[in-house]
Amino acid sequence: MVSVLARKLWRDLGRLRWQVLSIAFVVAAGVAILVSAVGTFRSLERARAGFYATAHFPQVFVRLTRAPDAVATQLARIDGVQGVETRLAFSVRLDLPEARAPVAALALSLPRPGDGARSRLLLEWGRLPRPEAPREVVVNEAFALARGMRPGERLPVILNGQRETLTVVGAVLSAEHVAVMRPGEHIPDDEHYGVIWLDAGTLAAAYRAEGTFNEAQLWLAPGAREDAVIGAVDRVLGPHGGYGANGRSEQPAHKFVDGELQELEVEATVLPVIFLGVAAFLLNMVLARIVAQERTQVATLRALGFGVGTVVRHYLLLATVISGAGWVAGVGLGVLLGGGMTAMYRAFFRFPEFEFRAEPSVLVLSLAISLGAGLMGALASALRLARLAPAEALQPAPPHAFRRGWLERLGLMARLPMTARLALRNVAGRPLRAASSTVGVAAAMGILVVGAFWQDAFEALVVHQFQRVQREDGSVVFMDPVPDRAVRSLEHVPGIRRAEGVRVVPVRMRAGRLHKRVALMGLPGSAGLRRLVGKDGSELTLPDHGLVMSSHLADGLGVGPGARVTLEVLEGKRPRRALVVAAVVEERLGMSAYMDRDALCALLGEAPSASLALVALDPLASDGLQGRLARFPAVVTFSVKQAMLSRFQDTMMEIVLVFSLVLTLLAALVVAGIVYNAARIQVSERERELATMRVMGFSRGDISEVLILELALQVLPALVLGALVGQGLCTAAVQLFGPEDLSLPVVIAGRTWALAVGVVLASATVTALAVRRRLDRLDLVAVLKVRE
Amino acid sequence: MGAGDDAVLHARGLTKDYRTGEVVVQALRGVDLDLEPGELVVLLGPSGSGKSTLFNILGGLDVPTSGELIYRDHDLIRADEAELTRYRSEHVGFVFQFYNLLPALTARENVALVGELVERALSAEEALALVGLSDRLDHFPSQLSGGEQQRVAIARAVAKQPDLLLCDEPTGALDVETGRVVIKALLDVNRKMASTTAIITHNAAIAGIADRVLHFSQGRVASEERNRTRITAEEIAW
Repeated sequence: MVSVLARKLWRDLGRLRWQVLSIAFVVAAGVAILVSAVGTFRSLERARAGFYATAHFPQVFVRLTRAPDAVATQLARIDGVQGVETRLAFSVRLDLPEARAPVAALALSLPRPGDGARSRLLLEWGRLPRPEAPREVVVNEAFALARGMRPGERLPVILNGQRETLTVVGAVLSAEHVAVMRPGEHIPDDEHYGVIWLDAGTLAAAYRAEGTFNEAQLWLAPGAREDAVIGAVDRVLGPHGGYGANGRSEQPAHKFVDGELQELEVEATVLPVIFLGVAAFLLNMVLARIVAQERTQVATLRALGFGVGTVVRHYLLLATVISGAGWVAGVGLGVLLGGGMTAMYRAFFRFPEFEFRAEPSVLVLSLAISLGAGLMGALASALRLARLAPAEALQPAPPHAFRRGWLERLGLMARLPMTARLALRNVAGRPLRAASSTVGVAAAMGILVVGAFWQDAFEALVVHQFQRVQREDGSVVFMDPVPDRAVRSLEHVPGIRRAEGVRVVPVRMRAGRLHKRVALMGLPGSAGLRRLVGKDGSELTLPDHGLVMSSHLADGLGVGPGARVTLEVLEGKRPRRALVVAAVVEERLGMSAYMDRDALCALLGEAPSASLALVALDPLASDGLQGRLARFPAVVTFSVKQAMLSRFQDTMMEIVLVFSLVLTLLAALVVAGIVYNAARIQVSERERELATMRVMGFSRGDISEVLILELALQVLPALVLGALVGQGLCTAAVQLFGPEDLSLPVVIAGRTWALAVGVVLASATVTALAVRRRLDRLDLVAVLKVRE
Repeated sequence: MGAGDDAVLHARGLTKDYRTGEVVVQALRGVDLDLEPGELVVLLGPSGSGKSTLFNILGGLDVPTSGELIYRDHDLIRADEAELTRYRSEHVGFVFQFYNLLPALTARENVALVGELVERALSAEEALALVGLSDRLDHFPSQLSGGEQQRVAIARAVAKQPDLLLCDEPTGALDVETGRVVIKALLDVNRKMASTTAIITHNAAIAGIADRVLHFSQGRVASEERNRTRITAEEIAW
């Protein structure tokens, strides 16, 4: 049989249905964020780990000029190395004149059959090339997808100057090539750059490289020290033109995906916990106030002989049902959202097994937080009421003890109409209660701001990085360094207004135990297309000597202006030199290092030369520029900044904005829920007073005015406080923001403030209308009969 | 129950049915009543006799199911919500068993509230002086005793100089001595301001202070008596 208390519980829930719904909603929003965000993030991590295991992802990677196959045996003998695989790798151009931009690829030799290494290529469709078919190739799946390739597709490739027509027989996923970037670029461009695997013999024959290799990958034995192995590899390959081995942390695809995951980490793990924390705080506050209104009912139950325990349990059950319902709804919503987000991320992260799974630990944690916050709120109020002697509780609650305070001393009160005085005094006289509403709304507004500001931050980053720092419209990369006159000859190509030769060399910089591999740029001057912008926004002059580095690199090496770093050039004669950090510049994307070009060339022991040209384009004449540049044999690639920028927006920004959208939507719901509850509880608490005013002859408008004024007195300060909370959360989020070479400015645009303020005010307005409706239906007689 | 052409309030055949589910409760079964200017009437009746329902209807807080109710020349039966609000604000003062003061306002402000409703209102100081609370002007309800709170409520009710002062169990929540003080305040006000005063109570002891006593029973006025001499508050034998 259902106990009477259970029935009361059921009816209480019915009576409080709108509040119950809106509170459950707040909880659901908090839980949904946590379940979906953490679940998506962990699913991503799991998918990558699974992929690495299946694909047998190596741990150490090295490129070199060329070495005989026999050197591989030396590598295999290094202590701690479990396996070695070597291959040939060449940048090739595809002869696709109809393409909008030049299409290039990294051509890799397929592992020879029998060494069991092919398992690392996971076929998405088609098949692997047959050993007896030297013109068959497989391509990376993203490349195939972006270019709409089908089995049997003909691929005209320029192999060392010779045009060969290859046949695509399959598309593969490779852990090494989850993201494929052109050398020197940070973002994949799958439409114009891919990976082609083809027969080792074909590739070796084309480049006259039989019996040699120019790339090696190594697998480490359990417990082996990566840096020790890297040192040994560099010693072995030094004589063969090794460019310096690196671990996974500097492997481009791994680094890229790692960066993307780090971009998500704050949004996916830290912010959801803050969200749920805010929701829990609101739940706690609201339930405490709802139970506090049950004074008469508690007194009646106690008078009837129910024990303190029974009564308290009854209200705890009420809290449990509300929090529990919110949790269940939140889990459902979270799984739905998580599934949707995972589906969106499949477009960015090409892992074979990537399914959303709710994290059991998150389910338990969110249940504990939801129930805990609800129970604690209800418990405090229920215990206080249940411990009152029933006779005392049955008496009307003594009037709240107001005192004359600063409002009176300032002499403000006397000048105000009574309704305003009433509202002011109610707010000022119960400062804790008013503050809890204000803090609640402010916290909700804060999470809305931190959910929505990402786009502003990214846009500010784009402006800084791509308009202030990188002023070029594009860059032309040369096969080998060219003399200055070759750069100047570019200025005669229609469409190019200006060209500046830059010498770029791969280097490793060391400072103490820290080291970073970067592309050091020798600039021809500081007022050109690449500007050096200081932390304070001013432009710096490139010093004749010494290094200028971006703050990311300086932080990564733990150095500042005046410090010395050791430079190891990773090509040519590989000189080593100690240099002083002359200045640190503010760049938001990538790790950059600059020095004077002549100084760099002198260090390299070369005459002044350029390995790439930054160009300013004439927008009216740049059509067909690709074709015109293709006639320059020294030019390998030409890339347009705008295209890179739009890829940046399509990938790095999008990845963050998916989360931002979900965070914003759910935060808006939390704001609405909390404003409604704050006002709704206020009505219940004040019903008797307002009914008295109605009985005295005040109109509905008059009493609504009092309540709406009170609501305004709590919501308006919340806008200010919420702005501060939002600003603080954004600052913290940006500081916690993961990628070491991408830093976001704390920029919150007008539209984000407008959104946040708009959602709060809209919620408050809708709530005020709902409150007004309720006041219109206030049953004067019934309210006056009830004592509280 | 004379027809009294100059009656402040004139009621004939008032009925009030409450429908709860399928059960109809007849709270009023035909009440005839006239309240004369300046008189003090005690409506005496046991719980459930319908006196509170009548109080609500006379005060414009509720409307009867049928009958006739005329305040001066205003028909309260056909009055809409706005007209009833105006009737309450301009003509009726209420005193409740549980005072119903606004805790956020001081005694002075609770009374001054009335000044926002009617222009002819007494100043809060005058009204509070009438009930002997000149020294408690700036106290909040929580700083006042029950009796003092009820006297503030009376001051608030009379500040608008109502034609009709309706009191529902005004001493119900008070001890004997305090109740005596409150009744004295009501008598003083009635004498000084000549407001028609109706006190609804189940406490027969205070019947002696009235000009007229109406005995209420089972939804109608069962009998009426007129006191030849009214007793003072001090003479009430609780």
